[in-house]
Amino acid sequence: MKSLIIALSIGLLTIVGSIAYTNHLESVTEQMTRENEIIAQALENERFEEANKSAKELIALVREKRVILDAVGNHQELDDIEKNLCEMTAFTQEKNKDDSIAKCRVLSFLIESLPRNFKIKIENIL
Amino acid sequence: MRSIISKRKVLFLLIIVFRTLILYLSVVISLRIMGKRQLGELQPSELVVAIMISDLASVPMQDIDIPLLSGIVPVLTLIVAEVVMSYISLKFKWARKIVTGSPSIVIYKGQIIEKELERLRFNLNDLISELRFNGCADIRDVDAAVVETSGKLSIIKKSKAKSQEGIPCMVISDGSVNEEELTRSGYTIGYLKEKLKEKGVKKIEDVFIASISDDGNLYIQIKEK
Repeated sequence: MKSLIIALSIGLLTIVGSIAYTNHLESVTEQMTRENEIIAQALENERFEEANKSAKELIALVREKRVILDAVGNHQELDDIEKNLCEMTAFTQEKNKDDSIAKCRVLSFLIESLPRNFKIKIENIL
Repeated sequence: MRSIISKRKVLFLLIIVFRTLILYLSVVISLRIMGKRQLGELQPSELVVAIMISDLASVPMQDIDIPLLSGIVPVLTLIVAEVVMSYISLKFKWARKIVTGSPSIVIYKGQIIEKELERLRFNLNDLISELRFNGCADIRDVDAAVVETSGKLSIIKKSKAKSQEGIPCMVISDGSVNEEELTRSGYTIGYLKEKLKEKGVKKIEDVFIASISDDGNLYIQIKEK
């Protein structure tokens, strides 16, 4: 009976933890997406200084949330986000509009795919 | 430069050490939750869990790109499932039958139950070797033999079991003569046929098992029709 209670508590804890983590992940990615949209807008209007500043803020945000994101997500996905961010910053500093926007779009896709992989969907289960 | 590289290597190895220790602890705790019964005698479902746990734990141990939780959570899930399943089996007979199966009697009052052997895909040689392993060389000495749900063979010997000096020669198994065993027994095929005739057996193919003991006694079991 003791082990059953422990097992059920673990099960419950896993479910609660999973729900809490998914919610947190969604709010973090929303924050990232917002920041990325600001960068995209600035790049469209060729305001490179502003885009560069926002990119640095996004880098700081990713670094801040990395521990939580790494705890469950594949480390490779976050490495890809950081790599693209780094490349985008370099293009922004060079005032290379086309490449910066291209990297921004890739980033948008990578950030959006983070919570998508954690949702209870048939394609994720299979 | 070289010192930086070697320092990084050491740190990388330390990460693996920490991850391994965390996984080791979580697997040990999980197995403790599973209980002592499972460690001593593995039922089919418990064997599956044990194999899966070992595999699940080893993947994030080697690859630091995989989060530790993706190894720990499935292990915990398996343990939860296993504990819940064993509790259900404990409470409901039908669940016990599905999860662990039921024991099968393969020898009853010195007679091998052929159909049961066939159902279990247990061949005669396996049965005889299990009997020998349990210190019972002659089928005639066995009152009952049961294949337990764990796959072990339990033997209940007859109260007046003869103490055999040597191992009986299994001269016929599954309707065919075992030449080596016949030579070991010291008898000829002619003698065997004659003895079978005396016992009312027309063809060797009809015999499921025949053995000759050290004192020359012939034990026969006819195939079930």
